[in-house]
Amino acid sequence: MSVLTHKLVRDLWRLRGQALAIALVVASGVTTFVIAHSTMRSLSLTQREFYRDSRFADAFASLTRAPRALEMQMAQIDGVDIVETRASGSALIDLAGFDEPVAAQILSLPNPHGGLNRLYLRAGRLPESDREVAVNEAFAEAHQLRPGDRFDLTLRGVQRRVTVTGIALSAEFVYLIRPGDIFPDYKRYGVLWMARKPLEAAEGLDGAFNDVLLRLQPGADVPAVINALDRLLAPYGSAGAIDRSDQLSHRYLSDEIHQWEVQATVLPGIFLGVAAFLLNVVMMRLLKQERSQVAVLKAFGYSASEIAMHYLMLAGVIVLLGSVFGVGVGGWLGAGMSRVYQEFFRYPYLHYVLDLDVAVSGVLVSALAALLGAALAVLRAARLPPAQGMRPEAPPRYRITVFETSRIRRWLSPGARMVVRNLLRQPIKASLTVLGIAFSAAILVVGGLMKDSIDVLLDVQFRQAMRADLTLSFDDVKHERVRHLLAAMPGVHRVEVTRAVPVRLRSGHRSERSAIQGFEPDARLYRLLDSDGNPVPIPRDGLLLTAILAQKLGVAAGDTVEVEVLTGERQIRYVPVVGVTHELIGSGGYMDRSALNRLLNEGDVVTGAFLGVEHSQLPALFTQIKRTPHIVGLMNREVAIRSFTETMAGNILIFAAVMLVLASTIAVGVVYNSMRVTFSERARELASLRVLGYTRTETGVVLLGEIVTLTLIAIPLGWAIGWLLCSLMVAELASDLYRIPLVLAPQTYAYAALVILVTTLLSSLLMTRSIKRLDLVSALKVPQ
Amino acid sequence: MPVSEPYPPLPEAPSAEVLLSARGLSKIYDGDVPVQALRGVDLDLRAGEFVVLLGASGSGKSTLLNILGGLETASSGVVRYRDHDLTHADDRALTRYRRDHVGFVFQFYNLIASLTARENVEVVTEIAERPLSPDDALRAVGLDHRLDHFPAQLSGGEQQRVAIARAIAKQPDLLLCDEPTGALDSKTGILVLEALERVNRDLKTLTVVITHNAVIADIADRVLHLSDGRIVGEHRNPTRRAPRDLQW
Ligand SMILES: Nc1ncnc2c1ncn2[C@@H]1O[C@H](COP(=O)(O)OP(=O)(O)OP(=O)(O)O)[C@@H](O)[C@H]1O
Ligand SMILES: [Mg+2]
Repeated sequence: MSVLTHKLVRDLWRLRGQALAIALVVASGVTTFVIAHSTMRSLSLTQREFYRDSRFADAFASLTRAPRALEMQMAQIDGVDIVETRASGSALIDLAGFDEPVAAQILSLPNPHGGLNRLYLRAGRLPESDREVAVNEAFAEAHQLRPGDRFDLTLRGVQRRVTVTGIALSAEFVYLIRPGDIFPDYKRYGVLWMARKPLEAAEGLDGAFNDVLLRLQPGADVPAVINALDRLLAPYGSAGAIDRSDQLSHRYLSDEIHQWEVQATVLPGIFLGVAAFLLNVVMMRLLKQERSQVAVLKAFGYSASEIAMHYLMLAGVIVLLGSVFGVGVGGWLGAGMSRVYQEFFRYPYLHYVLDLDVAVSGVLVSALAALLGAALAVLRAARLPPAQGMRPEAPPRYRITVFETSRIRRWLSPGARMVVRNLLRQPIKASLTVLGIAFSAAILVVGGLMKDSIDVLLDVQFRQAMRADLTLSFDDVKHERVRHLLAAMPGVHRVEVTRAVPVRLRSGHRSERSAIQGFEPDARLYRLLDSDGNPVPIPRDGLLLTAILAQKLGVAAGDTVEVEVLTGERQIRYVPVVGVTHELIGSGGYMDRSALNRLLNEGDVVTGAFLGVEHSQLPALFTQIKRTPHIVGLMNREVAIRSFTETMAGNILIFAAVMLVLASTIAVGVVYNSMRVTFSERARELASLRVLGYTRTETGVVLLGEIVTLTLIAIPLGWAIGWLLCSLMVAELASDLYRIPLVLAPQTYAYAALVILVTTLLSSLLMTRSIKRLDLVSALKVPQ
Repeated sequence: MPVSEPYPPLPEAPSAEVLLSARGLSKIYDGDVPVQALRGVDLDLRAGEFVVLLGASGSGKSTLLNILGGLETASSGVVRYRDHDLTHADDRALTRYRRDHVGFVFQFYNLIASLTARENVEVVTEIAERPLSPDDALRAVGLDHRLDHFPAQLSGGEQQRVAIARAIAKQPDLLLCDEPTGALDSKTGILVLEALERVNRDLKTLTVVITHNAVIADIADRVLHLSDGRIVGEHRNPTRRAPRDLQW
């Protein structure tokens, strides 16, 4: 081993505390990098494989009923490769031992030869008769269903007992959520498959279909195909075809992958930036201490590049250790994360892949950051001419700062003046330290966003907006009179009926597929909200739009939008927009129900109802509902809240814990390193103070004054950065499915500050050992 | 050149109080090769005395001074300051002792770079019980015109005088100086010695000065010779010479 290698090893050992702190920051950066990239890869790779294996369709359309002869015409549309029609319907399930009604979508099996959206059978076999169904895996797990189990199924008002023959997964339902829900509820919403003939019969579709899947040729003009399909299917009650990008499960999945793309850059960026800064500070300090040694080495004939290499190796070893550790932890957490994902994204298999290139680029990116951090310091030292290097460095220049008017000076103790002047002498270093700590606080604030916003989301959605205990939907339009029927059911004390219709809204060249929902003028069980959360009354005429929809269409109150009704005769109407609303979940247009009925040229009809219910009567009511035909959808508010909070509570805890670990790593790294560097820069002065009779505590205050001052500046800055990051995230994640409100509780800010302060305190405690061991005599013995 | 008036020697003991006494003082530095720096030193230092310690490099001068000043503790033997036992004092008690009674001056001035001359003195006056004002302390060493300069803006001699001002500002009972002129030329060194001498005379501060420069011994009341960790010689000057009469 060469002498320089010996020196390297000893330097590393001497700097082990700092080296460890930096290595951990690097490790955190690489961990987040690896998790984000490998999760993103795994999700999209598995997605691609599953889509391919199951021949996932490219375009989708639903309609009321069309003859199978139409298949030929659809196949002739330019760009269409395969056409698959099927029967689809809504069903209610009555499970023994589970009081509440369970809603399900029921589909006919794909064509066994060359069909699309093929099922992946996890267990059992495919159903054959009208008494057999396959169920989706999540639903089967939620109710512990196995092949051979039975339950009652209501289709179009007819109840039958069916046997589960198989447990299946489908690319169509990787993410299974009832439209309008904010979270999957596998216990109360499922997907069933039945053989085509019996389902056609049950749905009254003999020789006909009401659902279409298309596979397109590579390079097909998708909008043109959709248009042609819409024209062809319009007479058959199609609510408009969609391509994959509008398919619910696919959208959630793409959003999720997109989020990881963002994560894959933002978090690692912060960490590696901080690591680069820390390395820079430490290397600067080290090279200052070893200035004369570098000069001597050069005088003896070592080349500048040999010396530069020596110091870069030091940074390199720290970063290598950190990043290898980070790759390990990242791979381990990533694999764990993919198991969590199995819960939400129902793939038959999830290939967790930690590709070599992800690992290698994690290491390379951090090596680059290290190089950036260390290079500046090293180059300066390597360039220093030896003769100059052996002379002591010019003493630091201090000034009486502009802040120190005579009044303030009198008030500042000498210790405080030392702190202020040292900080102001190196403003860049001080600012970067502040920024580092601030980012750590910001990460904690971001960690709190989920919890805070979800509390508000729940409150706004389920206590301000959605106030109905039960929300029902019917399989078809019903006369308004149905309200009396519902009102007579056990425990029902209020009924508000509603009419919903799928539409395409247009303004200028922009257009959006959506729905218009008509409310009773005195609606209380579902309220629209303005941006402050106050209820917005339903106008007699005109249309209210959810803000995000108005924004996408580029319209505001006072503008007129074109409404294409996607059912029936596809009428086109022009309706004035009279306002925008700010609910957090879903999006659409809202009108007075009678106005909507008039607009649609229809009688007094409805498609669903909101119920206010006496809770004690719920079981009786459920029994009644299960026996009532035509009720196909049911949402129970209390249950929705409960299952949501239960599922989210665990995730939020994990998320917050991860953020806590990450943020603390940065905080410890920055705070501890700053203290160490300050300590080594000021060892002599601190020893002087001790000789003059200052106690350890008094000396410690001078040492800690710097970092505490910086910490106190950093905390509010961190709050601000955190808020900014949150608002970026909220904007990035906003979709017409849901909007996360930008709310941060005071506790979150307090918590961020607390963690930073505790970290500072712990780092200070580590430093007290150094102060204790400070050797007064030897610190003062050497020349300045 | 006017010949200055010699100062009268201090009267013989026991008229002045014994401030510091050491008996059988030994110090062994542990390590791979243990080093015995002091081997049984007996010593009494009296109030108001000016003592110079001479000896070869490595003879144990600094070690002795540091033990007397409460920076280190002896391995065996006893040191007493008035009626306080320093031998077994803990860090807290030693800090207290240094804070209340001792002023130090080192070869390398050890000023705080970020504080002005006056503020460097304030570091001490803030925690002392009956301090001089910083301005007075600096005036005593002839630096009242450089109050607001930072160490980097002062010459070596000026810095050392600030260090002396800092040491005497608390009106210490003893002033311990380890090679205070070691880094200075003779002219500047004399300025520093004058400052020490004036403090000793005006404030009656027991002053101990370590030096390699035998000439300086002439300004002392008493001169101690150390060799290999022992006091091997002691003499009293019949008269103390004034620093400005020295030459080297
Ligand atoms: N911290 C230490 N560890 C080990 N040995 C030490 C230590 N400090 C001093 N010594 C040893 O103790 C002996 C006396 O040292 P001391 O510093 O007292 O000498 P000195 O008389 O002041 O010398 P100089 O005139 O060179 O300053 C020397 O041999 C020295 O090597
Ligand atoms: Mg010495």
